[in-house]
Amino acid sequence: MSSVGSVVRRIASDGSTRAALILLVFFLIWAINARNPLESKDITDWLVLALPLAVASIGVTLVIITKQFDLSAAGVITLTSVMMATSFKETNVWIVVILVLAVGALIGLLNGVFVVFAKLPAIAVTLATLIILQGVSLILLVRPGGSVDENLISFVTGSSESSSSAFFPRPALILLVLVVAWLLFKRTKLGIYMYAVGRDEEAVQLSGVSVRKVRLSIFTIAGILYALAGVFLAAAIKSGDATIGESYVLSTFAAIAIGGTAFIGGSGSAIGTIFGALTLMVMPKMLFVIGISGWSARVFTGVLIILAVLAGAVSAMRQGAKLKETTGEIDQTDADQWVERNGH
Amino acid sequence: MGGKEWSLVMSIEIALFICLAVSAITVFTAASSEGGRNLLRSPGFIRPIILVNLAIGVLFLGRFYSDGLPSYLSVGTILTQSLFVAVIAFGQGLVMLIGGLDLSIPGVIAVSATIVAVATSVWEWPVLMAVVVALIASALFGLISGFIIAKFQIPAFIITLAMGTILAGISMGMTFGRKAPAGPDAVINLFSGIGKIYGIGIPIFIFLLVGVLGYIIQAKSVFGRQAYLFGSSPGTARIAGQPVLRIEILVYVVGALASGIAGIMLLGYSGNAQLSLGDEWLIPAITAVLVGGTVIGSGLGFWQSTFTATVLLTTIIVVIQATGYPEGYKSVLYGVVILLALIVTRPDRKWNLVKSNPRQQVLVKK
Amino acid sequence: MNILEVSNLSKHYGDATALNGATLTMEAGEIHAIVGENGAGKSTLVKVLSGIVVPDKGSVKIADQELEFGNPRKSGSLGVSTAFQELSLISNLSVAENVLISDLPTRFGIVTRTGVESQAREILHRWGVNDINVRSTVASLSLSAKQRIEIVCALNSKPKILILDEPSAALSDTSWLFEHVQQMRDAGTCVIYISHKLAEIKEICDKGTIMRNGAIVGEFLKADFNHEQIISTMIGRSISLAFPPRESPLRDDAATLMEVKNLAVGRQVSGVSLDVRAGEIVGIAGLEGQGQRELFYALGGAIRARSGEVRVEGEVAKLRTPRTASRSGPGIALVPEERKREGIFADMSSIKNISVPVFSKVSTAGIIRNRSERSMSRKAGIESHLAEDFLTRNVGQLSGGNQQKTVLARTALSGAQILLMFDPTRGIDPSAKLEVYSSLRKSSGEGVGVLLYSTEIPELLGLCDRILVMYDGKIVASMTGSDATEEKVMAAAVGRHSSAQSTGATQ
Repeated sequence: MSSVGSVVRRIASDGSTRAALILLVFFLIWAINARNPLESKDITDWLVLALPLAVASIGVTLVIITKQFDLSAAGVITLTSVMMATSFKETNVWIVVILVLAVGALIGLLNGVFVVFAKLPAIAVTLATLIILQGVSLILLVRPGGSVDENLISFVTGSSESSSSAFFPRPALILLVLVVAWLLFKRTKLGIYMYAVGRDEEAVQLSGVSVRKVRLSIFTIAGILYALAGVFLAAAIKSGDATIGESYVLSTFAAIAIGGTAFIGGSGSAIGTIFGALTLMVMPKMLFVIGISGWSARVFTGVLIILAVLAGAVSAMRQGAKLKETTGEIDQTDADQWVERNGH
Repeated sequence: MGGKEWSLVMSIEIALFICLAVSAITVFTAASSEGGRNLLRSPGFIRPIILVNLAIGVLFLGRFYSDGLPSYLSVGTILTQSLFVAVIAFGQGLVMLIGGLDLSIPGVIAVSATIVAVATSVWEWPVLMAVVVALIASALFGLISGFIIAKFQIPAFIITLAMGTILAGISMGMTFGRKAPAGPDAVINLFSGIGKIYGIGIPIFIFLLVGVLGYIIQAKSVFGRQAYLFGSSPGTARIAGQPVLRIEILVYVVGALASGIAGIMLLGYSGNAQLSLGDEWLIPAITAVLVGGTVIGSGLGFWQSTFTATVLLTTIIVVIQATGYPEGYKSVLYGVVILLALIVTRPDRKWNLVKSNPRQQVLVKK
Repeated sequence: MNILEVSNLSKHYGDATALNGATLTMEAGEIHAIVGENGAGKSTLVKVLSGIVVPDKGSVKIADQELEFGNPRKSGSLGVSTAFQELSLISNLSVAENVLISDLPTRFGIVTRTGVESQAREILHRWGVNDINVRSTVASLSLSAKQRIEIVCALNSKPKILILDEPSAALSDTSWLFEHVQQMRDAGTCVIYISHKLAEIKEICDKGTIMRNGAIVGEFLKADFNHEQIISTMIGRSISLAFPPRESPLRDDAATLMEVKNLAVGRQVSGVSLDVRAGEIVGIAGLEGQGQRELFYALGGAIRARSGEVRVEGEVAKLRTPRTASRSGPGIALVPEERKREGIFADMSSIKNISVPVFSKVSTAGIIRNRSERSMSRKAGIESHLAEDFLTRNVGQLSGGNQQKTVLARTALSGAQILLMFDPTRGIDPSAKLEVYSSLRKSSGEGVGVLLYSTEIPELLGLCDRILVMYDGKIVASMTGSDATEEKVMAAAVGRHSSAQSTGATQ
């Protein structure tokens, strides 16, 4: 019995396993209660919507691992998806995609410069970026509209090659690529430094690695990922909408929280975040089939996020306490933690 | 009508020039004495004067775009809208002072407005009772967020964001998706600007009252002081025996209470309780706090500056609306103003050597 | 040949002098000890050499090349390699990643796990460390394992100058360390060995430099090693400060205010028992990191004790938070170590800093009465020798001494009868020190019991009725004011307490 208990405890203490379990439960509820047996089209729909969220949330995860915050994801997504739907209609769509990714990189870099060099609080800077980008999107596209290149749509959703995508939907393929890319990234210097900077900036500095460079690179890569999410979003909704990104402010952080990344820096996983994004997007479907209406679905989402964050925080605290016990180090009083969290 | 009475006595231009002149005289008088010069160096004194005069300047600039600017009517609108921004900014300011950010404000506004509207129109409660219940509910939601944030040391914006979603859901549930319920007449009379005293809209008096009360709470009360202490240095506050957990939670309670009050005011202003009632006021409130010079997580910031910043911001909105530029420009402007405010009010790095040189910290920690 | 030439290096932190014209030279192929009291400037010197601290003045030449300050990479490329006292390992990375952090091997941009691990394992084996799994994360290791990894990292970069800052602090067996240090020396490396443990230095070092107050005050060779002489040079003849005398002798029947029994905190403090009587100043002496900080913070409620009992006026005190500590019995107040982070509200005025404990007295219906706040703060400030002009200034703009006076004024105003003062004169100028001493005397004259830790032994000798010496988390010696000397305290503090006990211990 005790071994069962310990397995349960191990699962509960690992963020991405926890996220996978939640996802599995929600998915099963959806699949079992659905009026008609699920078709590949249902799965594809779900994945197409989850894809941009997953990509953007991975970007935010990167920033959170380095112990910073980024609220601007929603702004970049909105701007880039609007750009995909409205701008450079005559140009080859893949060139536009590259251009849009460069815009994302630039915005991320600017965020980084304000945070790293001007030492301004990331949360306020990225909030300003968010507001500005939402404004720019509204200027570009006053009313929802525009159109997205067919090639892009079929590439992202796999809609034209029905036979092959039926078994293995295109968005799932992209997610798989992301997971692989992430795993590779974890084995690059920057990936390793990212985790190091989030945990112990000073020690990284001592080893001669530039903390500033790491932070700037991460903000920039995050910006590129947000832009990529914007491209995927444009392909998913097939048009532009300058207000579409608003919900991403909450849902990126929700995906991260459900994915089991604690907001303490130095830890986090993209796989958990992908599970989180999939969970968030399956949730309305799951709630719908068991008869939970619009408003209580919202409440349910909010409560789930808070519980997920709490679970992450509690398990992080536990691990911290356990480490203290095993190594006998108390190098942080509670007061230090206050200071750290209020971060500067 | 009342506006006309005033305008017979004095044109708005003259009134505004008098304001400018009074501030100029104040500054010059102050500059002539030693004590006055000290006062001028204090941002709590000089910044509000600058902000108000900037607002007047912006209003005059509006003349380029609209012949209707400046007018008594526009000043009335500005001050009325400033009221809502100020009430929200008061709570948000305290939260930001202690290093947080409250993104649940639109949710609290929606819930509080919906409670009052539904309770009076559907359940036929007396207005006062509905208001009291709405405020208690708002405070309770603040208590829940504050407790989670303080006890488990979780970034405030995430919890408040999630709480905002929950509250939006609750408000939706209360109206059962029907048309937005109308607010009670008493509330509409108070806050829509219909009710007037001596020809001046009631919201303007309330605005001034909020200024005074906010000052008393933030600058004069023990609670306000404790928030400053916590913001300035949570570590010191704790060692000095302050109840840090209670202070932090209470700040979120007060913040939510302020949003709840703003919700009722906005219900009166717009007439019915839409779900999106609070959406457009969150960003102006955050901007006002930052333009007012409050530094997130510090002991720096004055209510009087935040308060006057609300006037400047609403003036800018009104002028922009007169220019006829699309909505997007307003948003861009807010973002730029926030960035500028952050850069300008960046705290003097001289005192933060210890913070900015973390190696030192670690050494002493051992 | 001189491999290292340090000339006229100075560094000030505010009022505090960390380095004051330090000048020294070292040769290749020697193990060179640097000894000195806490705050003598050893660590700052190490940090200047390693490229972490930029000095105000002076220059450093390594193998005839000028060192560019403030850049760890530049120092590294000139051949300086440091094992830091506070350990520079990153806790969430694996041992292997830490060992190779500044030079991770990549193949097509990818850091292969097996590559890193085999390379790291090879490095650890090369330096005789076989019992550490390179895959485990650093956080899960014991302190001694971490210290060995830190040392290996420094050894492995084939330095011209190897700096070891308290390398044996967490090692139970030093033979491994000594073997490799000697090996490095024989290969022509200059090893700078910083330690408080004189016995170790005698065993391993060829030469030594003694530092005091940021300057070089003496040298010794292995051949003429003399404990007593080294200790007395370390202590030096301190600028004789006129310690204010006790006004009336401590009465034998003075009530016991605080009684600590068998207190254990983390792994840093174990089995500490002591008592403090009304009007008594009890000194705690010890080298850095012997558990004194944890002791003070636990007694002040800032960290939790693992076991043990604290009685205040005979009642068991619950020290869960500083707030409960301040409310137990006659009140416990902590003057913390880190003034900037835990002592002051930097961006608020002195008045507002001081009045914190008396909000209930200066407010009506929750509104602070400015005038009474001002007058109470002013009175307390002036009694703590804070100049009146400074009362309205932001504390962050004041000098360290005035900041500390503000903290003292606040604790005085709190009315706490038990004061825990952790190094209250650190980094403040001499005249402010005198004023702190006189505040202390005054409080104890009013019946306040004081527990005082200071890095400066003369301070303890001049002020305390009793001095307890801590070593390795325990109290190893106790001396009353009259029979305590700097030599005895120092000897006990460096772990030679057997001799201290035979001559002076009363416990």
